Amino acid sequence: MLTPAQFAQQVDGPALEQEISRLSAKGGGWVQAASVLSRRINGTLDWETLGPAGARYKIMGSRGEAVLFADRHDESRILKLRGLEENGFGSAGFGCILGSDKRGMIGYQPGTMEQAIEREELTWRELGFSCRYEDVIGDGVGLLLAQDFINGSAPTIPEIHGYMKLHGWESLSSARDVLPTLHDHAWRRGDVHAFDANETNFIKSEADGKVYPIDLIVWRL
Amino acid sequence: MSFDPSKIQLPPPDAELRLPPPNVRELSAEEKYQQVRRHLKDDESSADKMSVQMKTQVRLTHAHTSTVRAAG
Repeated sequence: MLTPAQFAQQVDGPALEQEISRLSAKGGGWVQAASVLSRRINGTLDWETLGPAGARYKIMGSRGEAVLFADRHDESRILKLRGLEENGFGSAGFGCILGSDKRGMIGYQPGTMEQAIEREELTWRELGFSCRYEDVIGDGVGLLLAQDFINGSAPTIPEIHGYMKLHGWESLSSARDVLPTLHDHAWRRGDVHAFDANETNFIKSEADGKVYPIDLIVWRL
Repeated sequence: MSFDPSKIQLPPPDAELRLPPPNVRELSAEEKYQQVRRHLKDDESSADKMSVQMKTQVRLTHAHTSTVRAAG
């Protein structure tokens, strides 16, 4: 286990402040994105003890469920920091899982740290590629996962559909029991569901030209 | 599943893996940063369009804040 201060000391503080300033300067919705990043770091780490320029972990960005860091000690991987709802990680919690609401509609639900690990395990089994466990921060305040970094670009939607169909997944785009805002990127194979299959959650590898899922929400219902 | 880090095995030993090949060359932290920004549509060529993932973090946080306020 890492204390919030121990992890903070390994984070490049100036790069983080520069990223927050850059997002804020873009205006519009980006100001909110900057606020979310700031809140995630403030709530999960000890801001006062952030490391110097060139420290091991450099901010890459903040996206739906996680804050991303490059690891200067191991350039082959990227770190994902997930955390508590009240610390800016919102209703994703430690990572969304899937569940049905009162009307029987399938949608996202906040996941606990245990469920985040369970989701990673299921993703490895169902997709063959996911994250490794790295560490936990504090007394369950943050979860660090590591993933092989794939040099490449976003695939197209037809390429993503081709990948999913090739591996036996069935589209839920016309399913009546999936929230309409989610069903365009929702798939099922047996009782396992894979949601959020959009361009930002796949990488087309420069090395072999193949498509790899990097952050789907995989859950058994 | 209770949270006992010593019991976590990722990837699971019996999972059939589909790992990407090693990168042709490892990118520097700065090059990775630029790739992630392009991927999230957070580069200069798409300044007005946020990716789904960028919007999602804001939406999820707002949803939580609203819930807390309503509960309070």
